[in-house]
Amino acid sequence: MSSFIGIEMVEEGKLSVDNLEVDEKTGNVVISVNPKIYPMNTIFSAAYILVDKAWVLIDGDPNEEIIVQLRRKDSKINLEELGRSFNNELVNYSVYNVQVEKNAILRGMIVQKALETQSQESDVKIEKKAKKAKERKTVARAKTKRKSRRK
Amino acid sequence: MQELKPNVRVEENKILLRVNKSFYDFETVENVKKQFEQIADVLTIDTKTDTLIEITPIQKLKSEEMEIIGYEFFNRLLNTIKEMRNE
Repeated sequence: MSSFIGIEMVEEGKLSVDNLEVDEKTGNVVISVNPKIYPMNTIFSAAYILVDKAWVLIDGDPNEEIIVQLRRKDSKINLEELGRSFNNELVNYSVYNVQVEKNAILRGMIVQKALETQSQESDVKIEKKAKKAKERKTVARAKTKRKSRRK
Repeated sequence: MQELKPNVRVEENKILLRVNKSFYDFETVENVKKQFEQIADVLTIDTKTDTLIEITPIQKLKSEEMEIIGYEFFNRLLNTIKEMRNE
């Protein structure tokens, strides 16, 4: 086993780089993911993005170490690049999920405000309608009074 | 990196899959199983940690083609999970 700047030859045709294990023979790249850093939701999203380029298998222990195996669909695809793009997608979706969480409070506030103004507007409309109905009633009463006087 | 048992194996005319239950639940597996029943006989065996799946294609296929069917099963599992989560 030889090791050089983080690259390790596991066995012939199999390279271990950072959290990746590249196997040119089988066309697989195996990625080790720490579930304490990346939650399942993020891992599924990152894996789903690569479904067109690779067959994706998820295995391992959800509490200790998650193993993601990517098997390239086309022999032209570089396995190390494929593994690294998976790592990038993990970061992308982590940032996205953090933003979604942050925006959830703000979104809730906006919706609440919109509902409040809508209910205020509808209260004003109801008041106007009641006023008009009252006016119509008084006019009708006056008319009937006038008619009865003429008789 | 931990050593794991293979997830896809081809034996004669059968494709044998090992699906980790921690990541792929029963409902998802059943959903994908239905999709494959048009092209193969599919049998599932439930164990404590995994769902073992035996796929026997109706047509005679090459070993490489059978392996691809096995891997495609996993991609469909992932598709189904994403669809279910988006609902």
